[in-house]
Amino acid sequence: MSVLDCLPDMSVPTPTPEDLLKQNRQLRRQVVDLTAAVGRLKETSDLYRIVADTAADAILCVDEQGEIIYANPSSKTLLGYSPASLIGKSLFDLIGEEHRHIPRRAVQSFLSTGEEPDNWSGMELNVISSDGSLIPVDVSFGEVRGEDGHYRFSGYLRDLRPRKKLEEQARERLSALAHANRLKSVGELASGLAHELNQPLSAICLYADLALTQARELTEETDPLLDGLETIVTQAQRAAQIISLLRELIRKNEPRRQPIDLNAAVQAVLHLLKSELETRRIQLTVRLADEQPQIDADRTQVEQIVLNLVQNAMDAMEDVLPAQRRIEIMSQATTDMVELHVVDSGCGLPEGGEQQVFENFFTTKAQGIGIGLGICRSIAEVHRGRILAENATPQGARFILQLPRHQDESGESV
Amino acid sequence: MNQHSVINVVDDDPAVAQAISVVSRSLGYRVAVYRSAEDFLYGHDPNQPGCILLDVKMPGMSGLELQRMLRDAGVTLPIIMMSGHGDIPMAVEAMSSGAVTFLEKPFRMKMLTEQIARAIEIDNSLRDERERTQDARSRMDQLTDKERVVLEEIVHGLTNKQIAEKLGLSIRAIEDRRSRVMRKLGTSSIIELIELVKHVPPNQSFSK
Repeated sequence: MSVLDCLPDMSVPTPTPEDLLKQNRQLRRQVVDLTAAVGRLKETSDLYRIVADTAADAILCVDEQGEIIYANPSSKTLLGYSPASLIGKSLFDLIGEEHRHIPRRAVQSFLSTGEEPDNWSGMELNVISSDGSLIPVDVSFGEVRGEDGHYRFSGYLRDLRPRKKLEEQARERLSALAHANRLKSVGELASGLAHELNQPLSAICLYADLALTQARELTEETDPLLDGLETIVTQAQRAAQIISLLRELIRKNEPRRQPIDLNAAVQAVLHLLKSELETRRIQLTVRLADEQPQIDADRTQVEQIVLNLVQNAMDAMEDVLPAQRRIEIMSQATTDMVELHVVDSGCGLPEGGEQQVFENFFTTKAQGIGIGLGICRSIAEVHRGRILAENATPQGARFILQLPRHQDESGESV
Repeated sequence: MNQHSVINVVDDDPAVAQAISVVSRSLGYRVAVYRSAEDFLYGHDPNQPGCILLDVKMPGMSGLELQRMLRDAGVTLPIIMMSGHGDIPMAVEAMSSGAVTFLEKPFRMKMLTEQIARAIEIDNSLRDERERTQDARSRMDQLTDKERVVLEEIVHGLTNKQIAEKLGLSIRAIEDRRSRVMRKLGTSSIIELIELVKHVPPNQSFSK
């Protein structure tokens, strides 16, 4: 028996002309439908192509081995390679060595579990550009399963340099303010020290002079006692001179005044503190007056006051439930002053603390050295303004900064 | 005169106040020490001659504030301002408000004694002047209105004859009044008379 005998009967009954016509019509309809479907498909694919081609982020598509099968034009902007030259390269080879394992593991994990790993849509990696430099990017993956059962992956690479630059600038500004704060702290310390030291030096000078005068009447001109007393006076004066030199040095940091907008200074500082306010879950309300008159002030020093006041308000709420942590910042103008109010819902002022809080080395914080508010006061006073503290209702403290309005040439407030 | 003058030391630092008072006593002055501007305001005797050694920086009322308050109250005690640091604007303010001088701490005994001597001298001459004025005023008060009119004309440089004509009186009557004025005011010459009227302008006296 031949194998052929086992085959089923493959013969088809001869169709009638009617059947043929009918089938022909059906086929034609299918062709029309398919052509339309192909057209629609092309339209959709064109649309996605435009999206990928015009995206500002670099988009790379890879197969399961990480081999690049598509690169959009922005890949060249980011990586420096033309899209055509990227095809066939390994995506992982483009990732900086120290990060290479991260996307590789993510892809492997996806392939073995079929589930997107946690970092699938947000990995901070460095990519190597054509000139060898490392560029920080944020990569997010997507996946699609092909007809062949294999996956294709898309990777969106967002350049992080602009964001990093802004972050860097904010950090620098904050650290400049912190530096200014430190300088000012040293200044306050030195100035206090100068005053405190000059007092005993005054007493030393006078007593030594007096002893010298009386000794001259009682003893010979050659008595070494006289030399000794004379030396006490000259050395005390030398100490005073060192102190006055120190003061001179500090005085060089005097403010440079110019007309500035207090609201702008407030906003600049709040921008810097934004993330810290969020981390500490503090609700911030800002109500700044429109058309605020300008003040004559040193921009950095005014920012320092605002920074210290807001930081003080944040610190005052350490022990307050997050839901009740509120800071309200408000500005307004009076006839000759511009005012800033910083109100917190924290622990409030200690009994009789309205004046004390501004004294140097006064603090209620375990970590504080008690100089921040002292700096605020001395800056306010240098600017012919003042700073007040009072308890707020129902709880917390209110700090009021008053600085004189800018005076024009004729001395008029404007 | 030293024995009558009191050196008022206003300084919150006890060691400095003590040193200044020891030095001042060694020079023969009497000393009163006050630990704050407020203590001085309530404790001092304004009629006591002397001067004030005043620290600029004190807790509570500052030296500059006390100076302004005393000036506004008409207290003329000369002030020697002392400061731990020669802050120029502060010194300018103190001097323009009438401080005799500004001593930068620490200072030598010689400077202190010189300034105290100068301040006491100023105080004495202010008091002498005030005394002369008061004396002149009380004498002036003894004059009758008629005598005052004559005095005014004499000071304006008119002769007896001119005054007599102006007032329609006899020369004899004017001469009488003139000698009564001289006697009551205790002056022996026109020059002395004019000097005295300078201290007490007659219109002040007339407008009683």
